[in-house]
Amino acid sequence: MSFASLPFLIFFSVVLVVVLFLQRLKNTFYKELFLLVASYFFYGYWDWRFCFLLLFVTAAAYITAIFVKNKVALAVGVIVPFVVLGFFKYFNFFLDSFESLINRDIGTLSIILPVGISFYTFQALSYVIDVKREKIPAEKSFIKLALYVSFFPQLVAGPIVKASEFLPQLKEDRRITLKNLEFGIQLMLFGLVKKIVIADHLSVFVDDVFNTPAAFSWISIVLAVISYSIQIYFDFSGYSDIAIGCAKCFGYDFYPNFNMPYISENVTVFWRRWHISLSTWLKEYLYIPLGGNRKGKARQYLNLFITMLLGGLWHGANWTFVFWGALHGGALCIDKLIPKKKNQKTIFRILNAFVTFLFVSFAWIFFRADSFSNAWSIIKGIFTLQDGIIQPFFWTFVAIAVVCIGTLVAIIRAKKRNEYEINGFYPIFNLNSVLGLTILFIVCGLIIGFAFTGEHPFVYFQF
Amino acid sequence: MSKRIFLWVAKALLSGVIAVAILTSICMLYYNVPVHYDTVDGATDYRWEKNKFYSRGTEGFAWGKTNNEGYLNAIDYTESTQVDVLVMGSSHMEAYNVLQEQSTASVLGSLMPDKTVYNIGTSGHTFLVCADNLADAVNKYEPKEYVIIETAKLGFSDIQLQSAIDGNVPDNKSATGGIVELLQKNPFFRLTYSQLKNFSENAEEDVAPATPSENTIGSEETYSALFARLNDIVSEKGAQLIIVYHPYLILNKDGTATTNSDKEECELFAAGCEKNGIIFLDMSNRFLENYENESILPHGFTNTSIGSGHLNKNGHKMIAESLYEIMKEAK
Repeated sequence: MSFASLPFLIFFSVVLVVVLFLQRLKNTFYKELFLLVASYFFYGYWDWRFCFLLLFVTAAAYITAIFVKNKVALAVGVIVPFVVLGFFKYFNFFLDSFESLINRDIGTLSIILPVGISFYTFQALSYVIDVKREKIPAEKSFIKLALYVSFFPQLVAGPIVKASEFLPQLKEDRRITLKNLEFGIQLMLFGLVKKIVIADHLSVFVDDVFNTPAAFSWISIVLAVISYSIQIYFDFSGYSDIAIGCAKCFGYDFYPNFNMPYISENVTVFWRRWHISLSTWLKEYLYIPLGGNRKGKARQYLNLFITMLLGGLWHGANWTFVFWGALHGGALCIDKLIPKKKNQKTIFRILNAFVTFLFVSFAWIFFRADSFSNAWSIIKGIFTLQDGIIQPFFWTFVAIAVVCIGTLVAIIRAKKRNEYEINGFYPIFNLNSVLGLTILFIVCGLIIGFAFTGEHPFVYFQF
Repeated sequence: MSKRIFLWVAKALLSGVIAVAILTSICMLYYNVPVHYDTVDGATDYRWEKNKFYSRGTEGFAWGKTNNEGYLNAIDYTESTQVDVLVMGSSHMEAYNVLQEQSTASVLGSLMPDKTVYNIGTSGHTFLVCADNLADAVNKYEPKEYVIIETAKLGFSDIQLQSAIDGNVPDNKSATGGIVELLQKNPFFRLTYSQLKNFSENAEEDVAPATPSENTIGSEETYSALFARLNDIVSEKGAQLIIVYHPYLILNKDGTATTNSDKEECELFAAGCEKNGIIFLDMSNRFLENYENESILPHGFTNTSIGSGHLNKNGHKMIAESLYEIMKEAK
């Protein structure tokens, strides 16, 4: 059940109405139980068998966290999510790679990749570690913990919510209110525009070019690479906006997952603005445990590189993702070597942002390509100034214009507030005014009128 | 409390009206498609509103005005108009995705300024529908030199071919009358309907593969019987029938292209045409040559997938030039 579908609209409306009724009860147990059942229904809509896997991961986290002081329990709590993730996502990949290495055909297993497995295993893992670190106590209520792991807005494609952020909210009296609905619904619409109006249209051109790069001119390929950079941003940040808005409708708060990543002046800043929940997770549960910057410069660079390499692998079971991670890891190391100047001139800030965008877009080639040869065809096409089909894709220019206008608005806002950092924000209107409602209806109309009507799932569903 | 709710509902209603008005204004330029009305002369099953401005930005960018009959034509038709070349076909020939002067009929007309090329291409009028309507169309317009029928498909079953021979091809129905017609006149509602229709059709395509019976190709005899009938209708007026086939180009990984034509269907169709005195114009080679030499594809637009969908201005130009060459040779 995709967020951008009629079944989800029906599902969401029904859940909203029932929770509205259940929240009148003093005991929050029934509301939480219903949200849990609804979340499992949402997940089971893809394949009901996956619900058992989700339940297993949750139960393992629940039990091991209670006995976390026992080393065996801790080990089980950490190993279970890794084993589940490793088997379902990486088993065939490593087997294939091993086969290539020994030049022998062993055969592969027919394994279906459960949707969202990378996200909920990470959440379960971080919960056990946080309990061990005594950041939070072990959750006594299985329902609450299960709801944290499976809460449907963030279940299949994040953001990766930390237990220390979500579980305390379940202990508070979080409710559906007009204010929450006003914010949540507008955020969901904002995300829908990003996803089905912009990202999905861009996917048409990107798919065309990446499927047959040899047929297109270098100009078209450059445009396609730029289009993909914008597509993946709008697709994933659109999904995150819908997830955040959806949770907000029920009264729960998730932190923003993106903050205008393409204005980043270097790769370090990019990772503070892109998929924030993942980069924070990797920092807290991988980079710092590896030693972070506490063990000298050389070790810091190695830690950074390993973190990004594994971050790349997390995205998908393909060496292209690993290489993408390695590119970013290398860039982060280089960036650490360059001394930073504070209060740089605007022209240098723009130049830095442009160079960073070029690098990030180049790295996206490996992220999008289905193989190294595919990526090589794209790169070769650009650098040999290849002749071929010239396709000045309309939606690419629309997307570029939207990004530029959005950036400009954020810059003006930062200037007005005397802020050096430029931050993204959600334009939320007062839905008790004619102007606010009119804008809301126009946005709804534009979504219907300009939406891409073909089937195109969220990019991050595959992870 | 109830007063607050009443006030909010009133605001919402007012906002809704304002929003629809603004969206309608936007759609006047982006997707302003006239209403289809059933026709009585039978040349086509339906046609657009007469003398109506239209615009379309969902696939390509085009705008223009329908003529006095409701066709997308550069010229008006009166009883005194002497039609030299009559162009029939589907939405490809109707050419609502390109500017009017870029359509096959218009380009052909500009290549032969002394001839009147009249286009009655209408969406939904695929080859068999045109075959079914041919007699009525020829009787009405009495083309002096050529009748052109466009098709993107050559494979038909015996049942489908027989229905065209018997004149039993199901008519395309317009959806006029009552509230539906009124709603169609609002560009925003029309766009909403179109979007929802596309959305449900795409969803259906994913779950419903074509049934095997639809894929069975008809026999040589049935093809020939249909072509004999079509040629009789046209030659009775002293004109020559040309069937234009425009396949889609499929891009290969190595950058080369092939057509989506089925060799067997193509040969069957071509042989049937030749046997019955019909000129069969297969655009495959021309399209492939143009792609190899100039990297130009005949279908697709800058706002859709390249190589798919309707004919673009290059496709129309190539077809018009090929038709012109054939006509010049025939002279």
